[in-house]
Formats: sequence, structure tokens, C-alpha cells
Amino acid sequence: MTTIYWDANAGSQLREVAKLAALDFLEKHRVTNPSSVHALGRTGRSILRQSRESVLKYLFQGNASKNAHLVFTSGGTESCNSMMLGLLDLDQINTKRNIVISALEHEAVTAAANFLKTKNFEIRIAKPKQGDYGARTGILDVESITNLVDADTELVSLMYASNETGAIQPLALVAEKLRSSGYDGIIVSDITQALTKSEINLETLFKSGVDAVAFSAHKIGALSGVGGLVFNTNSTCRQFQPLVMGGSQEDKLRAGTEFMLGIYTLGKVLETLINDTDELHRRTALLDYARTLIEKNIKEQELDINFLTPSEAGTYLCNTLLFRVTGVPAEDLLAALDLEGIYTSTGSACSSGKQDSTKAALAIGCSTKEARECLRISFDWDVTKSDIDVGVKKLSNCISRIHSSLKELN
Amino acid sequence: MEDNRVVLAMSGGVDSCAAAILLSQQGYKVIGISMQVWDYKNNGGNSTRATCCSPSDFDDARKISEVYDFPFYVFDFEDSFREKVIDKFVNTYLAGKTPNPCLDCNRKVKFAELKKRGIGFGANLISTGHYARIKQKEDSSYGLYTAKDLNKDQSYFLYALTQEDLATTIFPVGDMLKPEVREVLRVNGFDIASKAESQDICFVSDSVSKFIERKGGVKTEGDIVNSKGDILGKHEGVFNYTVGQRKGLGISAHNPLYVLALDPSSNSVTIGEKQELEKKFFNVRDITLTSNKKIETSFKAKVKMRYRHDGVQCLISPGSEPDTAKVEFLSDWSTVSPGQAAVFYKETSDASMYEVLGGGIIE
Repeated sequence: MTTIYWDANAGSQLREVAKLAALDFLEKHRVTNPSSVHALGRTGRSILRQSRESVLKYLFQGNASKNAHLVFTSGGTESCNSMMLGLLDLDQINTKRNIVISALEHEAVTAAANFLKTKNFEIRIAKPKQGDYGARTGILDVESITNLVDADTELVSLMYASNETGAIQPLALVAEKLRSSGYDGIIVSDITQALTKSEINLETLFKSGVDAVAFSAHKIGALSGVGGLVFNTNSTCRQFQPLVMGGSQEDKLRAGTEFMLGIYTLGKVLETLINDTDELHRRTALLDYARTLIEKNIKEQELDINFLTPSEAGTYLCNTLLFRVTGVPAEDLLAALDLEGIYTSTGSACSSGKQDSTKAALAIGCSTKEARECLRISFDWDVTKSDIDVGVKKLSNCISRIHSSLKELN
Repeated sequence: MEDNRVVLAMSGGVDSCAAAILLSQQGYKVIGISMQVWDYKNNGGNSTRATCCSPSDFDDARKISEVYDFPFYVFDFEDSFREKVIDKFVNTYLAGKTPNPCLDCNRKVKFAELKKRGIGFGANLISTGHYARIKQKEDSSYGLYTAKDLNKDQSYFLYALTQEDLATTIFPVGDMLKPEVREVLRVNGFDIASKAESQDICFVSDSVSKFIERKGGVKTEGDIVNSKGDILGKHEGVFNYTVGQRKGLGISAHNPLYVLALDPSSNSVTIGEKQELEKKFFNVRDITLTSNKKIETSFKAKVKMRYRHDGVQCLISPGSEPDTAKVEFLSDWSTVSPGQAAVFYKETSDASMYEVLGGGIIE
């Protein structure tokens, strides 16, 4: 059975360039501890430096990075935990202080926020626009965040783009507004889903007042097990307290020998994508095509379909569609598509393996029932028009079957 | 539709895990599904007992699916279970009757949801780890029969299956003894063969009356009376009792006393001696027959009035309303519990196997 991978937001397929880089690395290097003083350590440091430069160059859209310090971590979760916890003074006894996060944040951020509750922080949650479909796209109003910030706010965390709806948040606008109103606390962002799927520019973000961003390598087609944390060295934020303690790796900001193989693939993937806007444009065009095709197919079955992904240019990732077919449970649809070799997602799977509804759908204002009808498709870097044609046809058939099973037996 | 795709309900217990292995070995394309119908952390009570909804059971099911390389999904049926099983369970108790939630779960949740998944997943067949047998007869119709292992036989819960259901359902362990089923797991290298059996009502971890209280039932003290209306004592709430109950009444008498009737409207519990409880006949409603036919003439059959009941010979006659019947005991009088199912069994040429003709709910 030919399979179609439409779950890139959970983890991207390894890119050819990453695979070749990994094989090449393993062929050439038997040891590369960059902390060693001898020649092999120097080789390791050189690979590390080049990889760091490639990543930063990509994040600064091909320009030399200014005031940026990149720390490699074990992945997106560690990066998010670190940016949430490492910049705050956790021991200060101030029961009035608070942090502001959006309702769409990933668990790596919300779990850290819940930990901060135990350190006497109040957690304030900014919600996206509510209301009818069309307005339900998961984009936050700038004011929905800035209104929650006051003199006791010490950190604001807003993800760059939603892993569930694909909505791009007005992060730079939020940061600018906060800074211009005199906010001198920390502003951080989980940019995990934005890399290679949007025109993210760290220069703009840092200029607007963002202090640190977090990301992961396996969401862009490099090896999993690597992430990054980029600090704005020009910002007013306090000294970072590392979460992982030990040796003096990563400029004493993250202990532990670096995962060189993974870091190398991350550098190579982003190196090939510096200034490459073709892939982004091609993927965006295919996403638009898929959206229209899905809508047409579902409407031909006289079923209601609603997209929870924004449609206005520049407000959505090039690969993500979250949609809801009224009356068709997404957990059934996901399973039916899986059996047809098409891999999609609903929300996150809980410990029993039961699929949870998308958090974003609930945050946008969907009822529990509506949220359980939300399916996420996230195309990978190798998406093609013919895959979309085949996949949407199967999607349409599965929806038709499930809908008829409910009609027949309810 | 693919002919050999089969959607199998997997609780993760011994029987459904063995069923998965047997179906896989027979060449079926198994699609395993687990039904999360209940979550103790949201409902009170403890979850240490063996039940069919614990994450560790799902892990066992998932492990089988990984070893035998078939797709496995966990579905959230909590809403459906609450609406079709729990609410009815509570309301029936509050109305002074004794419900059988396993019947509702099997019929309205388990089989209904399995059938939906069958259609949705393009599978012609569904399967469960129930102990019962399905056989095609000479006239090509299907019959439902008791299991080979009479101690484990679950045909009582399956009386409402129709011809269409029987034609598309497989019970892989129905023709095996329980030790043989455990052996299937053991020889295939799984250590779950020794795990505890789940028993009783899966969602009640302590006692029925505590459960009803958690679900909003209010205990109101009232009178315990005899059939003449004389007040003999006090009770702590009608839903603490079931018809036929002997123990725990707190009233001493020369002969053993039994609960004869429960009346929530007057908040009274009527008790009396055994002969007052026994009936010559009772009525059954919502009757379905596995043949898909209706009862048109009287017939004799063995009738089981509870799951763990040996069954007694009765004469079943069509009732005045559609899908009702009058069931008359042919020998001794007996006790019945309104709300339970009466299931009709017919002898076959094999003395150890009975055919399930159908059944209904005792009035």
C-alpha cells in the first residue's frame, strides 16, 4: 500500500540532505567531542561552529546574526522549558508576580507555566478571538495579550505559529506594543512550527523586543534529539540559569556533550534553505489547492465543513489545515485514513492512547463535540499535487463511509 | 470493503487478547479497538480492581497489536456509555427495579459502536472475546448458541443479536474452554494469561448504593412493611435494596424474610416470606428473536432470568402488545427480578449446547 504522510507537525520525515549529511558524518567521524583539547575536539568545535552559523543565518534570513546566541539542546521541550524557567528568578518571594501565556501553547510551555504556579506566579491565559467560524482561526488579538500585562508581569510567552491550526500570531506586534508601553519583563516564543513553514525573521522579532525563542530539529526534517534556544544578547533580561547542570558546554548555558550527529543534520538542512523561498511558495500554493479541493469534495456530499485555519495571506503556515466535518468524529476519521495509508492527527494522544481533542479548537471556542470533529492535516516538505489528489479522494470516501455508518446505526 | 477485515473489540483482557491472536493466525486482517467507557478519576471510587478500562489493560491490547502487527485504536465512548448505560442504571434503581447494565453495554454500546466502526473502516466483520457460538444452519440462517465452556457462557448478554449481526460476527473463543484460552496466550509468549478476571459491574468499585449516591441519588428513610401494610421497621433508602434480597434487612422473624417489592413513590420496602415472592408467571417486553421473527404461537423453552441462572422450563405465549410475551413456569413457582432479561434457550442434538432463541426484559 502506498502511504501518504500528512502529519509533519508531529515530526517531519528526514530530508534527503539530512540523511546524506548523517551518513557522511558517520563515515568520517568516530569521535567528535567538541570539548576535547586535541585535534579531534577541534574538528568537533569546527562542526559545531559551522552548524551554529548556518542555523542563525537561516533564522536571520541570510543576514549576519546580530546580538544572537544559539544554544543547542535535546529538543523543543527542553528549549521551551528552559526559556520559560531559566530567565526568571524563581527564588524571589513575591506573591504578586504573574506570567502571561496564550491558550494555544504546547505542553512544553504550559507544563513549565504550571510549575511556575508552585513558585507563586499567577498564570494569565490570553484567549484567541471567539465567535462564528471565519473568526475562529486561533489568531490572538494584540490587545488580548497586552491587556493582561501589568507591572507585576515578569514573562510573556506567545508561540509564533500554532501546531494545531497553523495560525501565525502577531508576535512582533505584541512585543513592540509591550516595549513601547514600558514593559521590561521577558518575552519568549516557541517558534518550533514556524521554521521552514513561514517567513520567520529573528532580526524583526529581536528588534521588536523578543528575548528568546525555542525550536526543534525534527520538525524540519533533521534528526530528532536536537533543539535550539536563541537568546537576544542585547535584551535586558537577566542571566540565564541553565536547567541541565554539569560541564561547561554551550558557553556554560547547557551542560552535556552535544549530540553532534543531530546538530550537523540540523545545520545542513537549514543551510540549504537559507534564502530558499521556492519551497515555501510551492508548499503554500499546494496547501491552498488542497483546502479548496477538500472543501469542494465535502460540500459535494452535502456535508458541512469548517476550517479552523486562517485563510488570509501571511497568517498561516504553508502546511497545516485544521478542519471539522460536522457529524464525523475525527478519531474515527483518523483511524479510517490510517487504514488507507494516510497519516493524519487529531490532538495529542493521552496516556491510555485515547485521542484527545485539539486544544486549539477548544481554545477557539468550539464545544467538546465540535472539537472532537477536528482533524489536522499537516503536509510535509515532499508534498505533491498528485498525493493531494489521491489523498483527498480517500479522505472523501472515508468521510462518506463514516457518515453513513452513523446515519444507519444511530 | 475487504472481505477479511475484522474489527475486534479489545478490552485487553485474556479473552479478547486471545481472540486477536486466533484471528491473526487464521489470516484475518484484524483492526483492534479499545473502548474507553469509564474513567475512575472522573467518577470516584477506586480503580485498583480488575476492570476493563484501565490504561494497563489497553497496554496489553496494544502490545498484542504490535506483536501481530495490526492497527489498534482507543476510542472514547464515555459519553455514549454514560447516556446509554450509567444514566439508565441509576434511574432504574431509583425506580425500584434491578437493572442489568451489562446487557445495555453489550447491546447499545459495544455492538453498536463495533458495527459503526465496521462500516466506517470498510470491514465486513466484527468480533469480540465473548463466550458464545454462532453456527450456520442447514437452511443457511444463523443460530446463536451457548459456549463450549458453560461456566463462562455469555450468550445471556447476546440474545438481542439479529440474523444480520450473527452473519457478520465472530466469537473466536466461544468454542474453547477458559484454560484453553489462557493457553493460547501462554504458548504465544504473553504473561497476561494469569491476570485477574474482571467481574461484577465494571464501573461500581465499592457498592451500588454508594455509587447511586455519588450520581445524585438521595437516601430517604422510610418504612419497611409487610404485604398487609403493617410497619415492621425502617429502611435507609429504597435503592439500597433489590427484589428477592434476603440479607441485611435488619428484621428478625421466625422464617427468613425477603424483599417483595420496592415502591419509590411511597418510599416503602415490602418484605415477606419466600412463597409470597414466588410467581407462577411473569411478563416480558421488548422481545427480540435471533431468527428475526416474531412470537406467533406458544412454545416451550428453558428460560434464564439472570446471568448466573441455570434456567427453568417455561411456556412462552405471545402477549397482547407487540414484542411482549407471557412466561409461565412449568414446574415450581419461582422468583423474578423486574429489569433483568429473560432469555429463551432451546435444546439441540448436542446435550451440552443450547440455542439462544431470543429474549426480552422482565416487567
